[in-house]
Amino acid sequence: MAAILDHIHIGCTNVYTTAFELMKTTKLGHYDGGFTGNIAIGHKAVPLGGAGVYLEIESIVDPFATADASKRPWWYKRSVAVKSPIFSGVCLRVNTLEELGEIARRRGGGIRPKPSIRTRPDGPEARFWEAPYASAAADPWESGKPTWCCWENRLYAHPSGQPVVNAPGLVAPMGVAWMEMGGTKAKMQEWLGQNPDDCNMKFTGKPLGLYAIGVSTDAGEVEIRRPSATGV
Amino acid sequence: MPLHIDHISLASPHIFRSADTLAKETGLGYWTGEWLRDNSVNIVPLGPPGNFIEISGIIDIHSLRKMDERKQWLLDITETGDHFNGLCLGVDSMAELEAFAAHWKSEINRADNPDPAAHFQRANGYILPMASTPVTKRTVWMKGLPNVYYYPDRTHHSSGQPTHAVPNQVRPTGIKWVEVGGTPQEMADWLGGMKYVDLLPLKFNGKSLGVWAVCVGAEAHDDIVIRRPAASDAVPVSRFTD
Repeated sequence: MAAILDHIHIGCTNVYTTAFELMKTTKLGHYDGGFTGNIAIGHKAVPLGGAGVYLEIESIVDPFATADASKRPWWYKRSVAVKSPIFSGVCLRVNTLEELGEIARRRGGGIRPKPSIRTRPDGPEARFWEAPYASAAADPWESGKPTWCCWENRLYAHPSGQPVVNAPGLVAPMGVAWMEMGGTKAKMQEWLGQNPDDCNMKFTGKPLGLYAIGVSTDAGEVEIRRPSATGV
Repeated sequence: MPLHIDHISLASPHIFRSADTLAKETGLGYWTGEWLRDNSVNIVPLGPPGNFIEISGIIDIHSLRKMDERKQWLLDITETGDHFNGLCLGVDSMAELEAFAAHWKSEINRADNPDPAAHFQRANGYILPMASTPVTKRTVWMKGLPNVYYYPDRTHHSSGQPTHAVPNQVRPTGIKWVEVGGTPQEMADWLGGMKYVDLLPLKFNGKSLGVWAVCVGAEAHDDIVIRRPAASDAVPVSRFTD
């Protein structure tokens, strides 16, 4: 079965201002997703509707855990460098770990040995597995390539399906209508192993990465444009 | 109701982890999303008549490239973990707040300051109007002393907002007592008389100034005592005597 779009990552320096400015300009709601423990990341989620898609906004929230600058994620450093939140990555979703393992193997890697774990404000952990992973290799996102994930527990409490903070004038998101990507369709098809049209991708020929998305809403289409992981 | 305890600030190196830890320790729920520039607070409502703990911390480490005394203090008092760093009293009228301002020969931080960047705002953009005193070059919290607040509209007060549904959640019934450093006389000297100290459910432990513990009642549950060191335990108030 073809993978489908799961989430799009926005890396930034201030998760509060980033989520609030996005809400102000697009009328897309958000909520607090909690934190991840490994590098002290705070998380906000923006459900985008459709087949269960969301924006994941993250920044570092613990000054001490990352006092050593080498521990800061690459997307944080890039966001600082370009003085803007960035589209750091695109993650597709498959239904089983077997599918995820097969995708990883086709790219010469494996499934990341430890799941991504986020502690939600109401307590339970959200867990998903990611691929491809190779211990000495850079994160594919860093070079603008999508990755894949598989959620545990049949998508229980998936971030795309949680209620947003009630704010005036919010629109109802109805899915990602298009994604503006760098590179070419042929190269992306080679990397994905499926037709990029499945994910409504269109290509600009710029350096790899995501540059903009169009979100269908009950009030028309909303465009979100940010610097990509590799280009401006 | 005259002078009372409104809220207590708990400074944290990681407000999400601290709120999660406190919730698991005590069953007290919290809500999230209020922020002001590089700071955010997670709010732990403590029940009627309207008290809360705000777990506060720096959430934008990029802002630390430009340091100031307040940020340095926050870093210094959280380097070794959570510390209570503020006792926030409340009054029920502007006249009462003005009386405290006059006592301290100070101005008032006005609730109607039109600059949105001067106020904490919630995730939906709502700004809770609040006025406070004293206005000083550095917060009196750094000296381990309380300030005083007045809310012209308490209908959206932080203590009354819904929390995330935490596991084994308890229903708090209000503050029973707060343990602070110093002596009753030191507090009376600051507030302008022992009559004010007598209004407050304070226990004095004679240690350095500031909050050391908070006791909260809870329905069908033993009293909950939250004990953390005062900020003055990490950074002596003598650093801020000029």
